[in-house]
Amino acid sequence: MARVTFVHADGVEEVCTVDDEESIMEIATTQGIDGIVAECGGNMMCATCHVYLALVEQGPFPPVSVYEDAMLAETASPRTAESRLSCQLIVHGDTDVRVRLPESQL
Amino acid sequence: MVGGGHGGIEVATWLRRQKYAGDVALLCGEGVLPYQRPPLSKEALISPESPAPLPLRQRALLDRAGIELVFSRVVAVDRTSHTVQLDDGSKRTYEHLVLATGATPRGEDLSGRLGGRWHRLHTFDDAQGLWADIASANTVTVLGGGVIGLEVAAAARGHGVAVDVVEASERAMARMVSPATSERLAAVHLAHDVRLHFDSTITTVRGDKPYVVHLADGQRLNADVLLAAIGSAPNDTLARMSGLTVDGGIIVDSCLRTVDHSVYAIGDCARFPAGNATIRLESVQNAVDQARHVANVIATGNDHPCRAVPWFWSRQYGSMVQIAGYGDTDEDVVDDHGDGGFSVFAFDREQITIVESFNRPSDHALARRLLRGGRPIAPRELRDLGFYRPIGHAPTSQQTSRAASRAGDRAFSVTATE
Repeated sequence: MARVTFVHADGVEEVCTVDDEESIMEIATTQGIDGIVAECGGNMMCATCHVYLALVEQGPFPPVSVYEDAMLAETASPRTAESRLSCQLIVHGDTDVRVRLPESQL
Repeated sequence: MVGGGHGGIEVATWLRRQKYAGDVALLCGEGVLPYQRPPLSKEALISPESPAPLPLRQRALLDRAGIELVFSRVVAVDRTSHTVQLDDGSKRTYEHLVLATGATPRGEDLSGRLGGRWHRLHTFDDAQGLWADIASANTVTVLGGGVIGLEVAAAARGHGVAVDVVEASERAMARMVSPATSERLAAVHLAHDVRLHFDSTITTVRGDKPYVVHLADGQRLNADVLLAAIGSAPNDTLARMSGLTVDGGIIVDSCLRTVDHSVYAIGDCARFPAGNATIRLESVQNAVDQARHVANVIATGNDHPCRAVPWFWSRQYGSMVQIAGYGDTDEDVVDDHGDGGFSVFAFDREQITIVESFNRPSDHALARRLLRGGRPIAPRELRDLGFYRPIGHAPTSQQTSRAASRAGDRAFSVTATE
């Protein structure tokens, strides 16, 4: 069972667990985490599933692709070195990860 | 909410997000939890082994949020008594009613008219049936070179199946994109050995697996699978029966209200004002944007016009086409460096209306942001605004309207109002 902790911009934390392989974006939208909009449904077509993921936690995930990089340039909240599109972050097995949500996605 | 698609469920969840305290019921005529529709036409995301569609929201979330799911079809609306009648015989009353009934693919009569067994793509079950057949096919004929037809063509090529696409107009996705983007899309499909037949129609289909497809120009194609992807018609019968104004979609005002101000219509079934025209858009993005707008209006009681900028995307063979905006165009500025990506900036009397991006997602994101801002943008400003240096300048020969006729109102069709 994988576990994702969402830290809202105001510091409030919510924890979601998932049995199957799923993206952090899917977990957030299907389980009702406010703060992830995911307008395009996980196809790297928008930048509304933006999260901050500490660099030390990025190890298990693939690096930022060219398309993800291009979309991250257009996030509503500031892009930092920790910025990722959560649709590209797939969790499975015993992944236990913590992401911070931006102030806004639109 | 009448209709359990992307729009209906978004109204429900957005109402709760806006702290709406009333009862919220989602009437799902399809009988299943609302699910993702975009994957149905795309490669790898659905296969015969896919046991179930991808839900848009988990059942537990809806239960927790106090959103009631009713798996019944609405057969009648009585606006005087604010009552809907369901096909299970029960009745429900409403204070606000949101029609999110979607659209139905055209071509129901093709099998009878042309022969052969034609697939259409609307529901998860349709997709399962289609992909199961494609998995065992050598050849597929797709009628319609619009977005659904081309996405399926690309996915079928991914399965190694030979594909013919028969399109009545002279170019790919003609109702949605500029000639420059059509040309690139066609080139990508040709590079993947799709046989594209433009300006072409099917006269008859004979035989059975393989079917022999006869084209008007005398060509014959073999096909194990036939798919009709020729646009869709709005599901507006319920609205018409309820005495609401219907004309190629349910007519709504800029706040997305019908003539009855306690009844709204959103998504594929709704025709709304846009400039001097009314338009009906078929896209998840439009349904979701309109859903949030209506939810805001209901939750806050604050009527205000919906100003969402329409946008759309398609992925074919890993190439991305993204469109932001809508409207008439009299001039296209094409920015193509020959590096695989490009954008087309469409203008109407020197003001930007549409930006199409082919493998240029940053242009798309920037375009959406600028179009949302609402400030008029002239061609000469593109470079300063941060778009990739425009180099080409290709005035179109005449005033054109991205997609035109009411008869063929597919996604992004525009019709002028009298």
